Amino acid sequence: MTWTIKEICTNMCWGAYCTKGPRFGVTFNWDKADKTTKRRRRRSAGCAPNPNRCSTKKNYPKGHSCDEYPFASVKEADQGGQVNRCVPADQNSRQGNLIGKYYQSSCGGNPCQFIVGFGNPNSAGVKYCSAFQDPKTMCVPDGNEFKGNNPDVQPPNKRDLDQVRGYLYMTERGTEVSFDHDLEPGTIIHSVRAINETLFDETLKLKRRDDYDYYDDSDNDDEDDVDDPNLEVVEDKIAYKIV
Amino acid sequence: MSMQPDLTLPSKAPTELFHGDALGKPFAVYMLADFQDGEAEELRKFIASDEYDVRFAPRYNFAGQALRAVFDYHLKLAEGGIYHPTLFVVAVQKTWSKDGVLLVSLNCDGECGVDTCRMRAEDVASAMVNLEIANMDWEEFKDSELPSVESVTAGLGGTIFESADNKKPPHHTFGIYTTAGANMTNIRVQLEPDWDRKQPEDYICEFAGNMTAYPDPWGEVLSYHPFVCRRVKALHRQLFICADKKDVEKEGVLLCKMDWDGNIDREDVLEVGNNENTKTRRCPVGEAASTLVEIADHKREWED
Repeated sequence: MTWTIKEICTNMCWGAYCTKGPRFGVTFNWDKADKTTKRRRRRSAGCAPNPNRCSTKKNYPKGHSCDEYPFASVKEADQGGQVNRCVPADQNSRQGNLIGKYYQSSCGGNPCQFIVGFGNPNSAGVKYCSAFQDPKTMCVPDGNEFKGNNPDVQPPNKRDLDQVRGYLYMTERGTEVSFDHDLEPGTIIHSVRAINETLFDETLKLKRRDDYDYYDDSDNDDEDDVDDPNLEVVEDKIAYKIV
Repeated sequence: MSMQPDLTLPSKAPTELFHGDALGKPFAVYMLADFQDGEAEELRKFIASDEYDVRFAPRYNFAGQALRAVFDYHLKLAEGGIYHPTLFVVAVQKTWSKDGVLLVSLNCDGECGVDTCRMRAEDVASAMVNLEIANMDWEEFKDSELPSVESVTAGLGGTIFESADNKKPPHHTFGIYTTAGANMTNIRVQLEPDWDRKQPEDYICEFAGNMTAYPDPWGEVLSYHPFVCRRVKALHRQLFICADKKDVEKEGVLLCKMDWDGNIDREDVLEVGNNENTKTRRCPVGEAASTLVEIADHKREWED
């Protein structure tokens, strides 16, 4: 299998740039909520109770899982209005690993605030991650984006779309990355990336709000077909703003 | 044939264990099969895969006993607050590489109480992390649970690790480019309406590049395509699609055929494609994917 989380990033970017309010920026708080709270968040996101809409019991093809955004592990999920998407289960599992690893390593296992960005937002197979540039044209729902238990719809009015913001940056390692924050050149990025991931895979980047650590899974040069790759932490910097 | 251990468990476990976040606590591994020390360590390392904190419980060898014995022991162990209280792994058979291992949850999502799920050893640590942060639910893992050893023996479950790839007919993936700012999402849906219900490896079409912003967009496509093939090896080397008009539903797309050796390792990969070795023909967007598949399968000739 190819190590990608394209469908995951598609869902996150829909939630970040396209869904009609509340739209979810990129600053989140991991609050170490108890199981009951996380369960409630999964339910309000439309991914629970089980079987959810992505289950074979609901006639969805085998091997899929319900991905919600914002994550059930962050406080921002309490405001409701999360989006969900049926994604390949292996992608959802990889995302969970990345998030869990980040909470343990960069947050030290303690509640923390972080910022999510999207690496290589124009990469093949990913939708909506460049939508901040032209949301009216690019935020076209594909039928798999749900808000709660109903298909999500394109934001209907210009005023709402005008509130979408985002910036595209080039890093010193040559990765394009988008954030909704205006970052200075030289901002240090700590990326968690999959060794041997393809250059065109979408990336997930997380940035500690307090100390400008970043966290992502990202690209590498060769070998498409990698099972269960190890992850490595790589330092990078914002080189310049593209858009 | 070896005796199958008794895997029955109580339906509920004490709820006082379940409060709070337990992320970061090591996951315990137990053995019901009679492992030698080296074999057990091999399994533990395999599960941990240098990424996860997976440890033997202080007492981990329950060879010849029922799963209930592990359950009772783990409840006491969890009181110490060191190990993850509600998730642990049990190797039921020595043939774990073939038959998988058992993930035990003492509080699966608050609805089903105590439950077990047989899964591949390489997946079990990841599953526990995902369950802990509620990124995925227990039922989602149960949805793809491995068949039990008994059902395999009886011929009910097939071969556990039969590769899905073995069942699939060979297929092609064609890169999609645009040179006119066409809506790529819309093109994707038009080309392959059911694509979002497929696994990525089953896609017939794949976004490859938006060249609209370049001074010579078509020239960029020609230059870029062999390079993309180096990076995304699943792409068809010679055949691809270009949306050269913004309204693809009205004006169709270009089917493109680049005659080159497909050698993605050549040093001049960015200089291979040009107008001389690349043919195009216009095609309704709804027919583009199927037409290219037939050409790639030699069921149809290329028509200029």
